[in-house]
Amino acid sequence: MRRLTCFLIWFLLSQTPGFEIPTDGLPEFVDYEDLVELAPGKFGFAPENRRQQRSLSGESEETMGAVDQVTLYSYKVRSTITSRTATTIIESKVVNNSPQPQNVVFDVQIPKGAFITNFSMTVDGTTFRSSIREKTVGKALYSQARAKGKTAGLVRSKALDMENFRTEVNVLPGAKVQFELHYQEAKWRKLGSYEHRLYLQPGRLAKHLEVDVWIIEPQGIRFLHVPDTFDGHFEGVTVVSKGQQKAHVSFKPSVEQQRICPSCLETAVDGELVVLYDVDREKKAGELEVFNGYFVHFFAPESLDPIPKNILFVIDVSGSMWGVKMKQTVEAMKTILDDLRAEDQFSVIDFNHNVRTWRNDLVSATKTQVADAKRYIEKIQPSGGTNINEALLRAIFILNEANNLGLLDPNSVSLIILVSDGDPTVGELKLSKIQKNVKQSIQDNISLFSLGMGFDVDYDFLKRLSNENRGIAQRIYGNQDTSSQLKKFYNQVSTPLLRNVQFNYPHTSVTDVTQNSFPNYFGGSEIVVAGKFDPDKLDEIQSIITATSANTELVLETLAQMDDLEDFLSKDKHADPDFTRKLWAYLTINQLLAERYRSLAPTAATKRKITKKILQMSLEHHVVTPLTAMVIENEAGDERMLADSPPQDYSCCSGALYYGSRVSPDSIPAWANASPTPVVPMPVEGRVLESTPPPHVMRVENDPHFIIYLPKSQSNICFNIDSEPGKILNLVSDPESVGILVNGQLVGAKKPNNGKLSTYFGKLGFYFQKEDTKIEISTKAITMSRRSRTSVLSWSDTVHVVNQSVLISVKKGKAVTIALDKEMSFSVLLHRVWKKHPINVDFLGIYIPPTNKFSPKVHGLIGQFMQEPKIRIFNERPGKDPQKPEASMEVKGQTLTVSRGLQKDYRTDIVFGTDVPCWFVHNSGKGFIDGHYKDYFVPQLYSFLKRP
Amino acid sequence: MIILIYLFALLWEDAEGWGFRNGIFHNSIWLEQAAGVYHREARSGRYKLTYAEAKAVCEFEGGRLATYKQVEAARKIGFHVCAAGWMAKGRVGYPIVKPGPNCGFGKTGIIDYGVRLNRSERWDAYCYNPHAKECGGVFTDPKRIFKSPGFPKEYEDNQICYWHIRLKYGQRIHLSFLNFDLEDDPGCLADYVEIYDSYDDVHGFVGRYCGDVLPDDIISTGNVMTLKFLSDASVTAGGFQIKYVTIDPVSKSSQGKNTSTTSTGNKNFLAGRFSHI
Repeated sequence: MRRLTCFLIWFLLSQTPGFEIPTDGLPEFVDYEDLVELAPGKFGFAPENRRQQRSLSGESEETMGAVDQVTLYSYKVRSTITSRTATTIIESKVVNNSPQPQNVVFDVQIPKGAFITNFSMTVDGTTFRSSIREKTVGKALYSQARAKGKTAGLVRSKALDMENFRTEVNVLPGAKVQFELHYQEAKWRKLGSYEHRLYLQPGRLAKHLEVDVWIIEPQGIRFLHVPDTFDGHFEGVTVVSKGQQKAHVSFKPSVEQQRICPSCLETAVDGELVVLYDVDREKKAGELEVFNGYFVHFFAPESLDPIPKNILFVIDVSGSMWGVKMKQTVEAMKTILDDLRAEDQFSVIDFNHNVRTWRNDLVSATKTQVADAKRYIEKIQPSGGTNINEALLRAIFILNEANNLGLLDPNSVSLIILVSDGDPTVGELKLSKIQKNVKQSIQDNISLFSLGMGFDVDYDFLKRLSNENRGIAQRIYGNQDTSSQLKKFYNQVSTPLLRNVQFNYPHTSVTDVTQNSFPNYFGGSEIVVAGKFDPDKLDEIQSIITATSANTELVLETLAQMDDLEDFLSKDKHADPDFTRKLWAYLTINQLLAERYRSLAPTAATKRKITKKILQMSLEHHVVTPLTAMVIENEAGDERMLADSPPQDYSCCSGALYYGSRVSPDSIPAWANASPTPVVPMPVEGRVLESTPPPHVMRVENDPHFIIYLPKSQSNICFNIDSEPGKILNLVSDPESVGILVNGQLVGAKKPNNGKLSTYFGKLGFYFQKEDTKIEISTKAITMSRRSRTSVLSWSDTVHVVNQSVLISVKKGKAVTIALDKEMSFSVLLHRVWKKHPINVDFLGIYIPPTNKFSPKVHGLIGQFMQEPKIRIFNERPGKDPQKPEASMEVKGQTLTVSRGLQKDYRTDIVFGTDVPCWFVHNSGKGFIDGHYKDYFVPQLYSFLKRP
Repeated sequence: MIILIYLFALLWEDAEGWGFRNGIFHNSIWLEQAAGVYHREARSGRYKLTYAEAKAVCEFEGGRLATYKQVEAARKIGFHVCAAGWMAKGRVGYPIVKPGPNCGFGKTGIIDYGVRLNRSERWDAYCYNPHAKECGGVFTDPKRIFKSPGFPKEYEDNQICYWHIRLKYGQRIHLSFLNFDLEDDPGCLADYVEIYDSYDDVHGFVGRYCGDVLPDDIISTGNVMTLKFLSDASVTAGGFQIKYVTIDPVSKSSQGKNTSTTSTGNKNFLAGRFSHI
């Protein structure tokens, strides 16, 4: 049925007397002449007005037989996506080769939520251009000078996720028409990809059919896929070229290729061209793009453990669910339950006029429980009425109770998923009262999602219900794939990765920030925030994102330079340098419309204020919204057409999974500022990490050079360890009291230098037994695990995470500081080398202040010196190398020969380091360290040192 | 009957009457509440109510036991329940729209167990309560006037009402506005009435209305129509009264006249006609 309803362009015949349209010869029409005689289009769907017109003109039925000689000369669709901001232009040229005037209809489908920005049309030499006006102004203009024989309009489509733009023009014999439509939209990431759909329905063979999609993503394109949506007909026609940050999809079937079969006159181009892609975000959690006085901030972290969820499925099993709906719901529920994670808690409530529960409390999603719940659901026989009020209140009660009794993991997310097909018929029937009841009893950590089954639901009720309780509603259409729609929706919310996500832009010249506070972030999606700033006052933008993950509090700091993108954008002719402004405007207008839609405005004055803002922005950014209309007029201004937007639902930013709220963009939560240890500077205070490093610390750098500072004798003792790649050395092992472990794994250089293969620390493992926290720092990433939950931090972000008493602070590309209570701290520096360096590899340096409070039993290559051994250095004398004097050192009952040397400390200068003079102990520290260095090998990254 | 509905669906693909849609027999043919009639069972389960208890259940919700006629009227528009229940005057039966092997002995209609002599038999109940909801509902009568909640008083904030008009196949609906006063708002983003020339509020969008200008009459293309009224969180107004009458199937000649006087249906959208402000 959909097929029948979605013709992109209908070329319709009608034998009406031609309206007067000026014709000025045919000089430009030469190239149309050689066009092969194309098929009569599908004209089984002549509009009603044809019948009407026919009866008016008194023509007979015969006119139906007139051969359609309207030919489609060209049909071009061009889309450019720059950082999720898509602009599409549809252009089509048509000529009337018949001896009769013809009605030509340009009818294109555009995605719901897209903003139309421009339309132009040339009818036989007369050009019509569009402008965006306030609706009433547009209407007044229209009534002054209606165009004869032409109409234009935006129509809410019968199709569910799109609407139509339709123009109808009467064309004289021999005349040509050219249409061009522009629209804008934002791409929302869903289930791990962006989807760009173009509806291609030229309705007939086109001499030139060209579709181009250019994608420019500064973050880099991770994958791009063009699924076959034409049943293999156009195999090999679609050409995809993909570079690092740019991609181009081209679809240009020849007339022969367009034919549905070799001798057919019908076109096979009748469907959607879909482009799926995702961007690279392995390196960075947040992407802040700044340009032309606007910034857009994309946030889609992935390497986080899912937050456990407490989920209540509230399923309508009333009589109206009988049949396919129930079957499909049961089928979907079985998969959904199987997808629950072991750490999730759940229950199922089914309701008709009575409310039943599978379990009265939340239970863990173990295999047996899930199996039992599935059996329960399978047995449901729908009947009776619909008591939504009581069902929801029961669900809320169960969650609230569990929360009050402390049965919920404080770091979990609570969700209610309501599946219903109807309006209440039992119990509380007043919809506004149900809304009130739910709002009153629901705790503010619960999100309510609603799925409206079928067409005949009181969907607005479900939408209001969800939107005011931190969720969204979705209509589940049709019958056949109800089950997959349900699953797809569930998959979108099944993986909460963060809670309380807030975006802060502390600088005062940042203004007009879009919604920047979100209750949840779900894996596979993306949060987008945009704003304005004054480029004269700021040349970089700072953002601080605060959020709670499964195991930590997270503070993510990003700095973006004003002109970071300038170079990149100027190099590509398809890149839209205006994308930041467009995306900001798109988000702002949609959010304002949603605010109006969600009926939150408490007073008429507020409403007027929002309306004024929407109107002003729609005019300023030239978009058709419910408050504006597009006036299309000829140059003389004596013929006009009008197109305005059909009302639609702006419930949640047109396709985004989130609706957020606005908070002051510089209101950083208190906990993000509260540093558990003063050693670690916080970014908010504007200090640089380790700007004033404690002068004397224990450190290991380079191919591991150890520098041990002995405070009592105020001297530095150094030694090297030369071992093999892969070996793990214990640095600190303190199993007593708190239980602290630091191990380092060696990596080798790419090849030997002067016959010697250098080794470096490529990976460090920290284990804090009491906190049950393991931190692995490699040259690639920082991974923190607590019990079974893991967060991965990237070296490309400046980020702080607080996990009980452990604070990890990453300074982008430079250093990690780990602080434990106020007692201990460790710093790790990242040494990056040129990627193509023939020998050197990236490595880590570690710094441990001697003030760390270990137990007396602490050991390890560094740990053992926390209990300072008595040393005496005497008999300083010139060495073989005059630069390196020698001396004797008495330590641990032995006398060693040591040489004077210089080692490096890189805390203030990561490239050159600062020199640290020290006494060098030869033979891998033999005599200075307890035993042999090989005694410090441990089997695993988190193994304690076995004491002899 | 199914074939009839199927043909109808094909013919009037825009109208989207209930019945077949997308090749699937649309389920809501089994309305759980129709024409004010609904089915009730005891909290403890099926067939647990005596006649007196059944009466009490209906009265508790502000209604009364439905008469045989009322159940039949509801059945005609899709009320289908596979459970015998008390009706008024001690009658027991149940409404069947689509016969099934386990239900209704393969027959459609009210499966009538007759008037029971023993009033302590335990069955379910069929209640009649046309005014259970503050607004909205399914109308099947040939003509009717319906109003915004509380009319002629002002309507309240945060209202959501859905009206579904379902007439017989072949009939059409002539809608006229008697009173109309909703909060005026450019774009009708505040309070509004929306009208759909279809079974639901997705297809066949006709218009969104607000302000105090009386909208023009509307004639449906099919036998169904959906109207909804939403008010937002602030500012109310006088409300509205809308009347509809049935247009019976007409001969060919007059059909053309109807089409030309009203612009309904999806096929004939004119510029700007979706915003009758």
